[in-house]
Amino acid sequence: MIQGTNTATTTDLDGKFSLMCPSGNIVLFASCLGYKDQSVRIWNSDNIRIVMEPDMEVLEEAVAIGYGTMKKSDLTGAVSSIKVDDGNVSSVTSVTNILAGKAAGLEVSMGSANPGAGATFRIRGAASVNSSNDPLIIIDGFPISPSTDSDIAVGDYDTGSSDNVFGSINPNDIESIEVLKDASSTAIYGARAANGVIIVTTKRGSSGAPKVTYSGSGGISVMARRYEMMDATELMNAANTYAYERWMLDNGVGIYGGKAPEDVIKPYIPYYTDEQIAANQYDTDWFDEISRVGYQTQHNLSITGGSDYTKYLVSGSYFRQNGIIKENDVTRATLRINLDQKITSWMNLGVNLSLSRNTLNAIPLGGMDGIIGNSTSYTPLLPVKDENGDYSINPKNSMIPNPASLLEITNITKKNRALGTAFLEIRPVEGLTLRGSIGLDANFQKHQVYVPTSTLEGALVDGHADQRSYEKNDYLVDFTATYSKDWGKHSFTAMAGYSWQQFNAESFSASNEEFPVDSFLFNNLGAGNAVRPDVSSWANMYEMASFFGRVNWSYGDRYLVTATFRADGSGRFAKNNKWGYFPSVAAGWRFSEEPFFAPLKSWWSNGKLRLSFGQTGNSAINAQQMNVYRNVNGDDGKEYNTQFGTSNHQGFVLYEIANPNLKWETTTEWNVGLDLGFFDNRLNISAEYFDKVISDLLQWRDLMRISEVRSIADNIGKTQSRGFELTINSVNISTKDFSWTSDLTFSFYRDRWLERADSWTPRAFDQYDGWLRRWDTYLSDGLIQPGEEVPWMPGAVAGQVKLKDINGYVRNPDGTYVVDEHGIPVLSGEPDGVLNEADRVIIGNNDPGYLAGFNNTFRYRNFDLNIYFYGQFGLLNYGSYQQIWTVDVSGLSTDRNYPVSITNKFSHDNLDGTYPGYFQNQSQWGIGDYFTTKTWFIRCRNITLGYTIPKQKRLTNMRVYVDVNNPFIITPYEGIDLETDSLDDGYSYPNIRTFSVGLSITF
Amino acid sequence: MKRIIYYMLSAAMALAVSVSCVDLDSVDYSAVNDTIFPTTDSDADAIVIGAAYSPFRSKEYVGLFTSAHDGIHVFSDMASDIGTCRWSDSYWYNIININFSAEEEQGPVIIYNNYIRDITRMTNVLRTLDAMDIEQERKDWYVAQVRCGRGWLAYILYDMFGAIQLPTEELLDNPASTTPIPRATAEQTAEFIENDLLAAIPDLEPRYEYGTENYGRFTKALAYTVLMKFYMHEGRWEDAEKCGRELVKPEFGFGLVKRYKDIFTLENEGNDETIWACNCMHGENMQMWLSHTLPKDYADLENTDIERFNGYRVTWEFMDAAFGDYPDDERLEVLLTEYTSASGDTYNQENPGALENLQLGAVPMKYGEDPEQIGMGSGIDWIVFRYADVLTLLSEAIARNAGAVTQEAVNYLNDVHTRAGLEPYEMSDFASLEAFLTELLDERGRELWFEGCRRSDLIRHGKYVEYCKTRKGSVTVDEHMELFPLPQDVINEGKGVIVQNPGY
Repeated sequence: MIQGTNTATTTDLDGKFSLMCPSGNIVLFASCLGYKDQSVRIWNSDNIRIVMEPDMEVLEEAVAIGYGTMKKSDLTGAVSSIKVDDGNVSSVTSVTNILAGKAAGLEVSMGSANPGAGATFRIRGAASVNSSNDPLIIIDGFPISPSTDSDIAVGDYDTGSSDNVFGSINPNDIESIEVLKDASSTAIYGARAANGVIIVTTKRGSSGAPKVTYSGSGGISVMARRYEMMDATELMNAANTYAYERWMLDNGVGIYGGKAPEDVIKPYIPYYTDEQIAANQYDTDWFDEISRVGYQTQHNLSITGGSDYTKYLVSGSYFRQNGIIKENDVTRATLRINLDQKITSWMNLGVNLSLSRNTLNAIPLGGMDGIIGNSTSYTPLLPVKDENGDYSINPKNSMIPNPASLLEITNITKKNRALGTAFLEIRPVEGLTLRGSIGLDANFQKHQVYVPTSTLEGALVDGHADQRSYEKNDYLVDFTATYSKDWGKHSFTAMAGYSWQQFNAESFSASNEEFPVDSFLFNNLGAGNAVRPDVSSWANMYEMASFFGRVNWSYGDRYLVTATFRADGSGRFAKNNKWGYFPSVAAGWRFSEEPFFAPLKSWWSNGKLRLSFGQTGNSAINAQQMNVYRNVNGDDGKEYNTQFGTSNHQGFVLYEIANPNLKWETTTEWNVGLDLGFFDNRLNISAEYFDKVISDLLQWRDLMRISEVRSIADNIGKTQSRGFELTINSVNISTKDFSWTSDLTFSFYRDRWLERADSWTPRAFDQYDGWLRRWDTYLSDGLIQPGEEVPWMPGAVAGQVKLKDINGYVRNPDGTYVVDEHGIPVLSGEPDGVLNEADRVIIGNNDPGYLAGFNNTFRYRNFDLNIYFYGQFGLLNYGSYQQIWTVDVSGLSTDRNYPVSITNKFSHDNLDGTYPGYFQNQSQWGIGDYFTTKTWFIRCRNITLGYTIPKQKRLTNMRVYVDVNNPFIITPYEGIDLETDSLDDGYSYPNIRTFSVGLSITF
Repeated sequence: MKRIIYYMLSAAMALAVSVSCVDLDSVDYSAVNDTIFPTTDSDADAIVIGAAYSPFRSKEYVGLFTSAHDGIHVFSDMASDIGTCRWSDSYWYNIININFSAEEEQGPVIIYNNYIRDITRMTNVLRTLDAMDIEQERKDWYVAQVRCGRGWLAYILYDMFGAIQLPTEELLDNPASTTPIPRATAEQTAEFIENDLLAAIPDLEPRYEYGTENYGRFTKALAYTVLMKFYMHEGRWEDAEKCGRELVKPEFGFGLVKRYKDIFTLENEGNDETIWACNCMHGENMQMWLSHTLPKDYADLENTDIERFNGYRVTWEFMDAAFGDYPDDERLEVLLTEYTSASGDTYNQENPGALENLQLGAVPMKYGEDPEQIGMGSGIDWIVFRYADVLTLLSEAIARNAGAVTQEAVNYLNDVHTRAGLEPYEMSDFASLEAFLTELLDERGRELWFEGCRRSDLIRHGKYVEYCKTRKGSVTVDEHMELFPLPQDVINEGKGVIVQNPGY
């Protein structure tokens, strides 16, 4: 643009431009998204060359929004953008670690500290009751449909979750991650976007001299907190205590019946005499036997460069993590090639190709029988191996495997993934861009397990080998046409597109038993002698097609409007309901650009109000369009086979019935957002409020028990989710030598039911508009005291948790329940002398009350320091391992080990004991909310100290750093770790603390 | 050039749109859909096997006759004066001490949850068979098998829970129906059971020879046995007696095996005493009995690969009451009151050993060894019904029907009693019908421990509450516990139309 005139032009893809200029001295003003504005003074020149300097401030404002990008200031929807900073990436193990706590409204739950473990991502809660509340992940334009762990599950042991979403990506390759939260942002992905969208954009090459970057790090990990279990002497004494309480109970002595000990004929026999306790020679700490100091290292090398015509990025990475449990590790190798080729001034071609291989050596995590549960509870009175060199087995409970022997199990998962997309971009006329792309996501996974004869389970069957392979191939074809036009203060962009995807999955598995030798592992299945080795396979396919479009209009950078529409068709729905239509509209007002705002501009630099409304869909249910028969039971995978004479016969049963009325789940969402910037945008505040209603919820609805088929895919009601998100970014101090920046995120959401289908089967305590993930429990009322009668708990004994009888059913004369219009049993509101479901109450839900993240970066000269915290608040917790594992201590009769907290148990000589007595396990009602608390944690995720070595001759950049990952956690919770402790059984992989050093060099 | 590429792209776009978006599909290649299945005779057999036979298996942890806690012979004896278990889970504690709850998530209550749908499945298979175009004789035979299975399963549920739900036409037409189905009346349930079994009998073979092609399928003898048990349950002594008299007819060829312990061995699979057994085979469907009972240090095994989990026991209280007068009963050869461990120590009630293996009771070994067994799976057929059960029931039916002890009744009882190497009873041993029935109840206890008869026997003889109190020391047992509660899930599902059994 010629300054002071309206004469302007735009460049072609090469950056060439021509402009008729008046002769004389003029000033050319050049601007480009992502580059600093430039003014060039020219004097009667025919050829001029303007070199634009990238503007880091502005460059970071370009935000991927799906089928295009947008300036952050033009956004109308709720989008969180995370620019990935190289410096901090090299110490993280996966993309998941980058995301935790970084974007308000995105909840990342690290399920486990197991190397390579998966995490769950929830954007704005989980208001779908469907199995899938997972956001849609898009990597370089390819919508990923992740595989699940169950697709490759084999064998009897649970090996924990694995990362199927980001496991194949090298965190160092990532340029930015965008989290699309509200329906107006996500509607462009329509049918698959109901749970939000995460867009991952990888780095690309740029023209210029090749730039080589190496980064690497190495570190060690230790358990952040250990299980505190009894030693041998403590265990023997505890066993005797239990024996004495048992003897008292069996004979009605003292607190268990009032008899005097001397009146009992049957003598008390302790499990261990004092001599035996003194003479005991073993005190094995099984956790020590199976654990070690973990180790992790990673190396990344990338080269970028290119000419005016060809730009490339090639990167390779290697990552290895040894878990703190022996034989437990994960290795990841990735290779990426991103290539941009300019063919003519109006045609571009690009290819993104990434290859990855993940190898996981898993351990049998399992529940109680797994290595964690077992090594904490196995008797310390035994050596690791007996005198014959065999793993010792507890003679008092020979069904439980020796924990160290479980390390002998070979359990390998290999995941290979090739994700490739190629695109062609054409600009036939000015302002119009046509883009076509094809993509392939080829996923090959194999899971192999061998359980050798040195383990208890292997010995039962003379060795058990499993192999399972899983192949998933997804194809994508999409076309978009984008047209932009500016006139005057109006700016207009329209995009229309079409996309088609096909999803193919197949699996094959085989296993055998009774091997002559262990050395084959799973590599010679034919050598097994099982009569009928297991063989199974399956395959399925479905397709989706979509038409979509978006229109953006802005006026004078002040008024912004975006409208999108998407029509999605899915093969999963019956003919009449195949297509779902998802519109959205959003508007933004940058009131800070209004003339009347000018006086405030000196300190209030930015102000934008956004409002959006939209609909998105969900089809994540694998339903059939026809009734189908199968020979396998869906619950346990067992066949319906029977033998007649001497031969086997397969039975077939109706397995799934089609639902001709099944239709799309639809999310309708309102979002209000406010963006404020102060002091030249040194302080930015962004707040969002959303209210979404999900209707026609998709679920595998349980049919009545008397129905032939167990469940049917159905639409089962309506839920509502409301929430609030706040992001504050602040440059607190910025001087030449010292700077300090802070980022704070805070969010919460509440998910409730709005409507339920007629098929809903309420329980006595249910509320029609209750929480989605209700937490129901009996209410406890202390421990039953000696001599206390609790008539509503027949058979109860002193020391058990006393539960409250607070309610009863109202019955019809024939004994059936009186129910209200929703089928909820009507309750009397008064104790009825019976403890049953009517006495349970809902005390909250399973969701965290509030989520927060707090990131601080300090720079002093060449030093940089990053400290990052995140936390969850208002979490209901059932109890710590110290409390829960000691509820049932009947295993003391077989030398099972328990936490040292067992001394808190109520007993005849510890009437003030706060933990339930020795016979709590005999209560059929459990402990209710006796140990339930509302709790919270703040985790210091990492502290990283870096030093950038001043520019050397050949090095453009060199930085060294030290990092402590998970240095500390602040919480009143006394268990191992609130985030990684499993709610189900508590036998969790202990969370780790990692110390690492790293280096990155660019030249 | 520009134009050509533009056209090409447009063409490609149009092609892709037209080809792929019209007919979007979703296919599961590993299932077969109901437009092509079932059509043939072998299809018919496959759905009959799936519906009628799958409940009645002993396939490791699966089936009504599994050796684990969900086996009806396991938990129903555990819930009587016979059974107890060394494992300390609260599940076992509540069954063994007779403290049943509708909210329990395993065992008796879950049987209703897991098997009521099989009644509906069998009913639907009957409909499907009816519409199929296959040879009539084959069809009749398939129908008879399904009705035998359905009547039997309904009887099992009726015995445990009382009146059950029966599938309505609406439910059969629309399996996704949400209209709650109330329980039928006890009379309707009984009629349903009786009709099925009576209808099945004419088209079933009397009995299959061991090893022949159809050994393991339902037979006339099985249907009569179930029917007899049903009539006993109903107190229809005359009808029960008729069934018993059918089964002793020579055309069935049933008889007693000479020695008790030989009944349950691999060599004697399919013996003349077996009326119906779950066909088990090494590597196929396998039962796990020995592993659930034998102590780990039990040394008297030829096949040491048999895993020993050391769980089930027969209470000392029952042993004293039933065998106190018969220390030489040959049945004690496989009901171990004493054993010598690998280390050479002899354990018994007085000296249960440091591991307390015999603290709670005797070891109900019963079954022989499968030499091919590795681990817990045994290929020895699991005997569900046998002739000794029928003979003693016939004896009881005759006596009850006659209202007096008859010589014939004593003779049938003696067949079983003397087989155990004991002196025969005389008419004069019994002062009254009452005395005879009490002795008969004990005899059935000695004969049929852990074969799933005890609970029903005690209830029929009116002794359930008494024995559970005196022999189990149960403080919670009550008359209402003669029926198990329906699962709370099912009651909730009823939304006010399904009535719970009284007392729960």
